Amino acid sequence: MPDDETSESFTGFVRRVGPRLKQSLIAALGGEAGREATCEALAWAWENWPRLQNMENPAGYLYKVGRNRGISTLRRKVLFTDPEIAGGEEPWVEPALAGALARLGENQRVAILLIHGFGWTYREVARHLDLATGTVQTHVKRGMTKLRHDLKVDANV
Amino acid sequence: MSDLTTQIREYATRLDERYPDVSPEELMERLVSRDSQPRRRWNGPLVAIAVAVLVVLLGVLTYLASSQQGSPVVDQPVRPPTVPSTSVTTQEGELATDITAASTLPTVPSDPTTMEVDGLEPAEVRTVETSLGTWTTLRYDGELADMEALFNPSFRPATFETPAFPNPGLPEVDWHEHDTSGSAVVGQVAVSTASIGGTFDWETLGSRLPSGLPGWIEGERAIEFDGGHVLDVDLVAGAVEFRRRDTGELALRLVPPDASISAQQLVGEGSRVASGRWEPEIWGLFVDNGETSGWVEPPWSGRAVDYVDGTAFGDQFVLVASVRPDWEEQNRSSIIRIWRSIDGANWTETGLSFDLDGFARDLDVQGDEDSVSLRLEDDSGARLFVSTDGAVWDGVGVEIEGGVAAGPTRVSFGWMMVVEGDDTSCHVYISRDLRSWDSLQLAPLFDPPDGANWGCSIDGDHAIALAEGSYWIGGFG
Repeated sequence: MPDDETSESFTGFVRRVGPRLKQSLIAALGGEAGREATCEALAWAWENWPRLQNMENPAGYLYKVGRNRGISTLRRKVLFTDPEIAGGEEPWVEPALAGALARLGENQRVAILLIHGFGWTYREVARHLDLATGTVQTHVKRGMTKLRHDLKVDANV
Repeated sequence: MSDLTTQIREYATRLDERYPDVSPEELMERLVSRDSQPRRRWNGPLVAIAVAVLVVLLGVLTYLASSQQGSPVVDQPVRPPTVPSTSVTTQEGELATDITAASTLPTVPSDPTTMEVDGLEPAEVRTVETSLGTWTTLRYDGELADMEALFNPSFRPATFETPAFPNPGLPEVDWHEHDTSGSAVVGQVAVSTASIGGTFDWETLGSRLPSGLPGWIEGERAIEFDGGHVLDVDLVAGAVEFRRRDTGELALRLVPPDASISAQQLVGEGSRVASGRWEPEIWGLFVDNGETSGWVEPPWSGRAVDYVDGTAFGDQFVLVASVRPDWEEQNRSSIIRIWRSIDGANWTETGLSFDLDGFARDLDVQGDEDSVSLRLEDDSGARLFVSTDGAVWDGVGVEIEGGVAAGPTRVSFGWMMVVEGDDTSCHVYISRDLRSWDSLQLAPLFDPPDGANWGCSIDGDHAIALAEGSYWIGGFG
């Protein structure tokens, strides 16, 4: 059983990394599945804490862990269909946005939500997803083009 | 409605609030609860015996396979030879092409130093002689309000602009939808402004597509028809859409019959084969071979895949998938498998596979009239392969240091690829034939502050790099 010092350092890690890990997994898998995958990834982190501490990019690795476990255990779940998130009867966002995001390719959706939704920088997203920054740019560019078309939004908006 | 990025931010904020962060306390409760559940126990001796039996069986099978005379070497992981990174790398016998003579470079600007972009004058102009011509890099210093604006075509220097798609002598086509009721093959596609956005069901799809036209396939993501007009192909919102390249105007929209199936990702692009992805591991392959069309089971069906990409080249199609042992396994490597097809419906695995160092980070396959390129990225970096028949693949003798940000992409003068080096610089690779490459630096070494945006990409015939306060555009001219 890990000692108190380990527990303390892991607690700090969860507080520091957990919120962003959750954001990225929600972007990939949807709200409920993304949060559940975050729990799974952090549980994996606890069980493999010594190994994780030596990793160069533990958050990025946990993203892969959570994504793969989320896909394997929650397959075929519909993404982004929570009516409360969509705004209910009085939509506060474009009602079709959730569906349009769900129809994007995963990399495009994650890149767009993290950058335009959660305010990450391109470099942060690239590091988290283990991609080149230019690749992230391309995902955002193509995804935004699809979103605009899907939502029939003018290119200048 | 407020602008799209504001809407996305609002939506993300709601998501963030509705699904609260995982606290250490909650996590510990889950771990304790999990530990109290009965778990499958490790039966050491039994598993050890099973492993021993498997090892013996594998050894016997390997011996039998190796003892057969003349058996083809298939499914052997292939690592390409790597050579030290140089500015130009060649392979013997493959470079007989007169590159300079065959080039159709964009117009050379009379004075590139005067090219303003977004009101900014170039702060620096650099030229480099390459085997394809004179490459010019312009640096602009200034702030961009929106990084996406960098990719807006209006920011392109006019002198670098790729000529509009040539259709001289053609009258403006009246974009009206032909009456294609029945099964008669359509002589030309479609369309008038009045019917843009019209939908087509699968039953009449075969008669709607201009499959009988010569020169119908014009390369990746583009279809040429009726003497020169080009349509871009994309898969959006569950439909295959064809748009005029010059205006972006929607010309044809094909919608699958089952509205519950939402195709999300077009990976085999641009011709008569399209591949769609629905939920994470469910893939479909839409095929139009000129006679019949519809969704078929993809060759990788039943396997866990990370990435799939496909392309048409010559009269063939190639599909490449990164296959992993299983979804759960975190510590093993993926394998790249390749299939090819003539008709888009029947697929043959090439017999080659590439083992990766870890899981695939990205893969990209692009075809041309007579060749196809495959770029793989894994934990070791990026590797390039080229094939002229889809069956035999050669490792290209260019060592790519760093991550490939974009490409190799077909451009007007050949192929282009941009690479982000680990030293945070951007390098451009250009090639006429996919085998011989020139390498040059687009943006210099740069040490961006934490959180700064930095990256490079390809837009049209141009390579682009962006850093805080500066950006670079490179191209021929």
